[in-house]
Amino acid sequence: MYGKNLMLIMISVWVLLFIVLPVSAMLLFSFWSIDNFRIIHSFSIQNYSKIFQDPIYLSLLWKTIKLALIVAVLSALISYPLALFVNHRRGTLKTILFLGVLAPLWVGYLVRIYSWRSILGESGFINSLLVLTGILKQPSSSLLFNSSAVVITMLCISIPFTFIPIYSAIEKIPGNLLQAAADLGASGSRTFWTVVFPLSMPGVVTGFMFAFITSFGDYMTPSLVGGTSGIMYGNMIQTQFGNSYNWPLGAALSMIMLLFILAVIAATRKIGNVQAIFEE
Amino acid sequence: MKYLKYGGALLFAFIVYTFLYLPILVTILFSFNESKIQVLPIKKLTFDWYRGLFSNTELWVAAKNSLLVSLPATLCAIVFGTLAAYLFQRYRIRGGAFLQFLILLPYILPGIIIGTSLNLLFKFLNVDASLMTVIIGHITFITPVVMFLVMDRLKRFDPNLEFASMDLGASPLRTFLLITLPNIRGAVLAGALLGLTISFDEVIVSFFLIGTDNTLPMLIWSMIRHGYSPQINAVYTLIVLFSLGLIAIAGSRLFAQRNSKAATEE
Repeated sequence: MYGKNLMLIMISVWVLLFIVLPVSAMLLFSFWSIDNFRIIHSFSIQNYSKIFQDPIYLSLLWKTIKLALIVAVLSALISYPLALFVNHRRGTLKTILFLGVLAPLWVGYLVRIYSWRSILGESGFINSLLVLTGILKQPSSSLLFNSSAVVITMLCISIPFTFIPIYSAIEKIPGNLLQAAADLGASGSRTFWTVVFPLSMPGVVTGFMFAFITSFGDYMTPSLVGGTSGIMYGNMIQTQFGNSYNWPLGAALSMIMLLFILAVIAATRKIGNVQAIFEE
Repeated sequence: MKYLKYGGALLFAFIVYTFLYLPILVTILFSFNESKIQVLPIKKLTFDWYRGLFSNTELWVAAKNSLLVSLPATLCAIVFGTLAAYLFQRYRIRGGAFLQFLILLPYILPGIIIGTSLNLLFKFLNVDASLMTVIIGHITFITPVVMFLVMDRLKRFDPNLEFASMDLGASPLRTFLLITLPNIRGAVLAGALLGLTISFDEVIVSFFLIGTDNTLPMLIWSMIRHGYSPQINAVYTLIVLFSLGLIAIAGSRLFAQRNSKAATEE
C-alpha cells in the first residue's frame, strides 16, 4: 500500500506539472490584457469579448471547423475500406500493410507538408507530369495555396490516425459472429451492414474525432500550403505568440480551442473508444 | 465478378498507399536530383546534396540538439509512463479513469494547445526558453504513448506471478524489477523507440518552447520558410529511412510478442 500511494503521488505530480499548471497559466493570461506591448496584470474579459464580437475571429473559427469536418469525413471514408482490405489479408503481408499505414504517423510530419507544397506547386511534380503527358499545355498555379491544398495535405496526415481505431474495431469482431450470420443465411452485404458495420461504429467515431482534432489544431499545414486564403484558426494563435506579441489574446484564443475540443471529446467519448488509438 | 471486386479493392489500396507515401517518395527522388528546382524530368542524378550535409555544421549542431532533447525526454517518459501503466493496471484508484484521461490529453490535444499553455507557464514563472523547456514539452506527449503500450502488455501478463513472488518474501519493488519488468520489456522498449521517433520529428510543440538553440525539425522549418533547398530532401531522406527502421524494429517486437503469446494460449 505504501508503494501504491507513492506511485499515485508521483503520477499526480506529473499531471499537476504538465497539465493543470500550464492550463491554469493559460487561463490566467487569457484574462489579462495588453497595452503598448506591456501586459496589464488585472482581470478583464476584454480578449473574450473581442473574439466574440469581431467577425474576423468567428468566421475563421467557423471556416476551420468546416475544413476539419471535410478532412475527417474524407479520412473516415478512405480509412474504412482500407481497414477492411488490410484485415482480409493474412500473415506477414497483413503486418506489413498494417505497419505501412501506421508508419507515416510518426515520420516526417514537416517534410510531408513541405513535399506536398512542391508536388502541387507550379513547377511541381503533378504539373510537370501533366505537362509532360500533354494533359495540360501550361502548368497550373491553381493547385497550391488554397483550401483544397490544405485538405489534401491534412488528409495525408490524418488517414493513419483514423485508420488505427477503425482497424482495431473491425479486427476485434469475433469470426464466429460472421460465421453465425452466414449460417443463418445472411448474404455477404447483409452480414456487413447488420453485424460488421454496427460493431465497428465506435472505431469510426474515434477515428473521425482524431482526424477532426488534428486538422482543427494544425497551423503548419495552412501556413505552408494554404496561402492567404487557406489560413486557419491555429495560425491566428501562432501570430499572437509571434509577430503580434499579444500573449493574452493568444491565450484566450487557445483557451477557446481547448474548450471546443474538450466538448468534441465529451460528445464522442460515449460512443467512441479513445484508447483504441494505441492498440495495434 | 469476384475477380473484378478483388481487382477494385487492390486498385483502391494501391491508390491510398501511393497517396500516403507520395510525399516521402518525391522527397527521396529529388534528393538525388542535380537541378536546384524540383521539376520533372530529372536530367542528372547526383550525391552532392548528401555530400553537402557533412560540411553543414548548422545541421549537425541541430541534430545534436535534437538528440539532447529526445533522449532525456524519452527516458523521463518511460519512467512515468511505466509507473502510470502499472498503477492503473494493478490497483483500483478512485478517480483513476479521470487521471488516466488527463495523462492522455497531451496526445489527443493539438500540439498548439500544449505548446502555448507551457509557453505561458514558463513566461509566468520567468523561465527562459531553452532546450530544457522543449524537453518538458516532449515529456508530455511521449508519456501517454509509453503508458498505453505498457498497459496493453500488462493486461495480458498474469498478476499471479507477482503474487507468488511477493508470497515468497520479495518486496514489491524487487518483484517489479525481477518479475514484472522482464516480462513487459518488449512493450517498454517499443514505447521508447516510438517515443524517440515522435520526439525527433516533433515541431509543433517545440515551436512555442524553443530558445536560441534549434532542434533539427525547427531548423528545417526555418529553412523551408526561406524557400526551397534540395538539401532538405537529403536530410529528410536520411531521417525518414532511420525512423522507418526504428518503427519496423518496434513494430516487429510488439508483433512477435503478441504472436508468441497467442501461440502459448493455443
